[in-house]
Amino acid sequence: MAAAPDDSKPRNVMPAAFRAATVDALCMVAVLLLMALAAAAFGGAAMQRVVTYAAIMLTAVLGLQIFSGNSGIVSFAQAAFVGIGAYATGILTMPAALQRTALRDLPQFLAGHELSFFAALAVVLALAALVGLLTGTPLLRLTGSSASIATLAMLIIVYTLLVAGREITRGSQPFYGVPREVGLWTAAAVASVALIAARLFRETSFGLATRAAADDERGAAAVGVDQRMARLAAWVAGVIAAMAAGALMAQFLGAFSPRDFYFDLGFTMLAMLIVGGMSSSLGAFAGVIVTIVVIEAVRRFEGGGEVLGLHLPVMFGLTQGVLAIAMILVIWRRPTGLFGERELNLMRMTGSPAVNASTALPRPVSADRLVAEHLTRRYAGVVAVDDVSLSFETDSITGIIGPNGAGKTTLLNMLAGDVQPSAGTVSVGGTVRQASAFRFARSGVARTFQNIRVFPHMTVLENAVVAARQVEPDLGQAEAAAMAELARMGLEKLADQPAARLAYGQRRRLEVARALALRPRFLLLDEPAAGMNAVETAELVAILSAVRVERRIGVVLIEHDMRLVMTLCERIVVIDHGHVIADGTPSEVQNNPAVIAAYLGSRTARAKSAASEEQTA
Amino acid sequence: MFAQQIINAISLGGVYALLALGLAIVFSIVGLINFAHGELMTLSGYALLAALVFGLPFPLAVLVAVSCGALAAVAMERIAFRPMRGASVTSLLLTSFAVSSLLKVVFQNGISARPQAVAMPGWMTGAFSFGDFTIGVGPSISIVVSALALILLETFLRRSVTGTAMRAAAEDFDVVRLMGIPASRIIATAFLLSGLLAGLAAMLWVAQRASVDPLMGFTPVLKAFIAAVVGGLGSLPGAVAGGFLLGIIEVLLQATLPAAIAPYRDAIVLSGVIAVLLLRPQGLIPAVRVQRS
Amino acid sequence: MPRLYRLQRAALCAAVFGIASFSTANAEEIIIGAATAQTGGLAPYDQPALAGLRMSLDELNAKGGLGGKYVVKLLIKDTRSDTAQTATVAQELIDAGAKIMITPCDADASISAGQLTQPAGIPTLTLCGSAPVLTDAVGDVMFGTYPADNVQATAVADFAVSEGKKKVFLLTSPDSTYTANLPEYFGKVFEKKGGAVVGRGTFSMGQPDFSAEITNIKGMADQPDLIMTAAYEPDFPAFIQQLRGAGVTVPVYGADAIGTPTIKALGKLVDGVVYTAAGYAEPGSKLEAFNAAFTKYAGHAPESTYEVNGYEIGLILDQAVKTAGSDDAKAIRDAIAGLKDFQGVTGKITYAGTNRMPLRAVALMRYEGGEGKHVKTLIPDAADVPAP
Repeated sequence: MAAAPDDSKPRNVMPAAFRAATVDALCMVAVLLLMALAAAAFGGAAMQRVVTYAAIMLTAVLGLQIFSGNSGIVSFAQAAFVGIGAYATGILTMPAALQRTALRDLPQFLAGHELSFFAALAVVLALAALVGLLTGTPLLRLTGSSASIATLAMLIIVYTLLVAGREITRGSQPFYGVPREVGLWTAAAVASVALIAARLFRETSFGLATRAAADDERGAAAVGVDQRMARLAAWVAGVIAAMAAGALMAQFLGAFSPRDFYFDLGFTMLAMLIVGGMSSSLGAFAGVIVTIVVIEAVRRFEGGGEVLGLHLPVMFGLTQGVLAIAMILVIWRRPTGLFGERELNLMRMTGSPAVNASTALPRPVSADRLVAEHLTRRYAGVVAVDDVSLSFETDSITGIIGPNGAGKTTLLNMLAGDVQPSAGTVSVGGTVRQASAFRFARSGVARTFQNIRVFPHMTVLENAVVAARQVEPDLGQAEAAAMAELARMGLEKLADQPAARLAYGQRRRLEVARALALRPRFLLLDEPAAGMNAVETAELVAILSAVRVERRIGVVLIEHDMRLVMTLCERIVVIDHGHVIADGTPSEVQNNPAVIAAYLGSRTARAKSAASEEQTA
Repeated sequence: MFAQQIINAISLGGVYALLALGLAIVFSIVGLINFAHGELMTLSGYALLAALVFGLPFPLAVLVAVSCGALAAVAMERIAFRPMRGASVTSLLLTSFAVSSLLKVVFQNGISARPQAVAMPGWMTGAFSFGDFTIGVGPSISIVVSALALILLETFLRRSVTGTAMRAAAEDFDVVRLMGIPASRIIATAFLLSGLLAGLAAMLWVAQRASVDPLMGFTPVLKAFIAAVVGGLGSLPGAVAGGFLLGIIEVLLQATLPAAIAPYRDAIVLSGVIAVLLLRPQGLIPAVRVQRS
Repeated sequence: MPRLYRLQRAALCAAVFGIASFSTANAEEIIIGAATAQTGGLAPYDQPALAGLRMSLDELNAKGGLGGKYVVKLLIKDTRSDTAQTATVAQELIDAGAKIMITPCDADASISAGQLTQPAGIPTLTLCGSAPVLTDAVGDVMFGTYPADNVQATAVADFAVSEGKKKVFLLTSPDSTYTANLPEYFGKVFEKKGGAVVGRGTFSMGQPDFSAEITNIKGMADQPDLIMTAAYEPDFPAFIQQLRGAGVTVPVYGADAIGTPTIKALGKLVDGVVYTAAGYAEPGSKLEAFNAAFTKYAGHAPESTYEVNGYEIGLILDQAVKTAGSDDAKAIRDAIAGLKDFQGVTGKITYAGTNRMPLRAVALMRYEGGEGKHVKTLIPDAADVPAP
């Protein structure tokens, strides 16, 4: 497939990321089906039950991976959703005659459906979407351990509701009489769908966005990622998988009660995911298989008995013990799990062509203004920015300079919508906007950070694609555009590397490429040359000038490197103590006595300026 | 009767506060939410039982049991958590899960899966009466012990050098190095304190339950976890506030909910927890942490 | 403390012993599968019953096996107190050729295993499951062995009425079938016989603090003269400790789950607490002989009547195989279902005419001075037993 890119007019049916994901997913599905086939051909009924159980757990664990793996938030609630799915399926599929005796007080609308498994599954999936939205919405406001504790609370709430809702669930009594139509192949089929979904989810804009936000929340907002929507989508997908697993589980078990879907199940699923590796579907897949194989192997020795004529002592509880030790060892030795953060990435291994950079030149942007009016920001009594009014045009390069602590970064943060002004407004294109980093990013204001905020666990290409997707709904074209920006910054060779492996200067360039992938009208750079050597700085200057000429965007940069500012910028704004003390061409500013005073801060300069003031007076 | 329920609530809240505080101390220093905290309680409970079976007088047995909890906590840090120093909060949390379930298996196999009765001295089941108002000895001891423990801990953290260093470390661990105090000592002290608190809480818990079993630590650590997060994870005053709040809400709901709604009690309490987190994601009294850019 | 370890050692001995007896594989062999909880929260209930069963099977094997003809090979697998795992090991046992299945005391797990044995027609007996719904939930292969919850509750209610109790407070927990339903069965019988339910309270299993509920009981205008609960360990010790600590002296009645060494070890605290058992070892009774034999067999005295119940399962199977005259599963099932006034260790056991939960005697016991004292044994009138 090393065809010359020139003659490749026919577009690929699928974007590269999806192509790679599909190959990976199909490969895992093939392994799963092979195992099922082996169990069906060579295993007895018990072995088939083990594989069926594994497939059901896999479905649930993949759901957990979709949410926790992408968002980094450990969820304890997954077991609860498996439970809801199981009960819903139980009620829908139970023979009506049995239902009348087992569930005497069942509300009318739930009674007597007697659906087939797949009909019930369809209903359960629809219900899952609803449950997911309902439970996911409050989660949006929470982050980190608060979100985890909320999921823990959900687990207990659902358990309590299942126990208390006696009319529907028989309370803590066994819920029985569920037909057992789910066998090996049904479970394997549903698990296959879950595998494909989980592998593909990573590459969707939701998946990219959740992963980006998990890596760096501010960085994600700065490239227009609305992490709440993305996280909600991941949550809903996870709940759907969990409830599908619940539907299978109901028909697999036939009888169950609320405590089957409580902490034990939750911990088992977490252990499986942790052992395999939380951040990839491959990890979830491997984790489930490894864990179940270990359990199956170990429990045969649990009851003691004879092995080759040897008496083994009775060691009950060995299974849990071994699982716990396995989990500790994995966390100690390989904190990212046995399969770490990697997906299979078969396509990359076979060296199939990655993404071709789009050759179309980015079009110049239309004229626009970024206007700050009376911007003020106070922090606990300190005024960082005090009544600043400035206007920036497209097709210009402005430098903002000033001594340390002058309020430059705070000003930039407000211009980027990242910090809420205490007073004053920022308007883009004539409309005043409420501070919101991701909305600003989407409306054409891109930025970089003083301390680089790339997404270390994502590839270089993905870093740029996250941004490109905000302005280009088609993934294929977004990939091509992102690749073009990487090429612009000389990073195209590194496209498949995790960003964490880049050198410092490369990361700086990646951050700029990522910002440009947003096709901004304004590009705000916070000390872009910090930590770069002279050669790298010169390259950066050349690139920025070229970009400005090509696209006519407005560049605003904070910089301490005076040589860079003076050669690159046509306008310089000087800030001290939160005030604008000078605003003009480099030569004007250079000769401004107030600037010299503030900047050098030396006695001589102050004396000079005092003298000149006296003269003018 | 209402006054009596208030006493019940304070007594339960005190135990939750001790436990939540134990979690919070460790979390504030090393970022570990220690789910095996409950197993420290279980261990203290078994130590009490063993000491009593061994024929030690009751006060001495309690002393032995509480020290066992404290030492076990330090040992746990040494063996299980030290190799993980600096790992993410999630990895640490999951390690503690694994440690917890491993210890449960050890208790089940090494001792017995079934609860063991602990005969508390007869005077502990007594009650004082003031007119028609009765206070059990058990709840009174709970309240007094929790209050004393909280006061002593506060004094330690305010007055001693190590205590001051620990408070500083909670806000910014690097300060400890600047103060010239070995990090290991701070961490060991944090675990020692949390073990002491777990041991004390275990004594109060066992006094209320009259038995110990391998799974005994699960419920209390869960409640303590909830209390600590509601209070503000890593914030010591927050943990105490969260513990008392949870205790009070649980007792009042138990006392007042009509029978038809009573089974939903836990769901109501935890919906409240989610509501608190929604309003104050960092908890009621957020921990102070130095942000480094 | 040493007693804590004894059970383990006994299990070990039994395992070795059992294996030794299997090796006399000369006569015809019948495989009995036991899917029981050896670990997890339900292990304390399955283990004693299983020990009793092992003892009877060992004795029977020494005499030539079930019906004197079929040497028993007992395969034991751990369910880890987990429903899904129970189904898996039950399937493995079926695959291994089990002709008879023994399932855990836990109803969920038993039903789950029963759903596998039902289509295969394998007679299935729960070790000590007492949920009345258990057998109907599975079908005609499923048998209870222990007095069912509603049977026990009826016996306790009969006794309470005979003691002149008029007003009961029911303490239930929605967290398990047993704790939720048994007191309610009691309430039904008690009301039918002229008593009144004056109050109800609930708790969550594992909850440490009963003070709010106890304060409510103390504050009731119409004070109960009896508290009925099916709480067991660790909730029962906590409840009674705090109840007595609050100065409430109302008698507390429970059921079989509090007939354990742990509760007995609470000493004076549980004085006056009434509970049930599957039988009582009166001097000279068969049960006393069994207890002595069991002590010799296992190295410790039986903890409860679960051991003898397990032992009787062996006897029931022996009788059924004798009646059936073969190891045919269907014949054995029919033979069990037809048992009438079968003389076990504890008394007469009848399956004929029941929904396969046996009608059998319930012994009422009362703790006094740290010992369980026998009060009376009665077989409830079938007409009084409330529907499940």
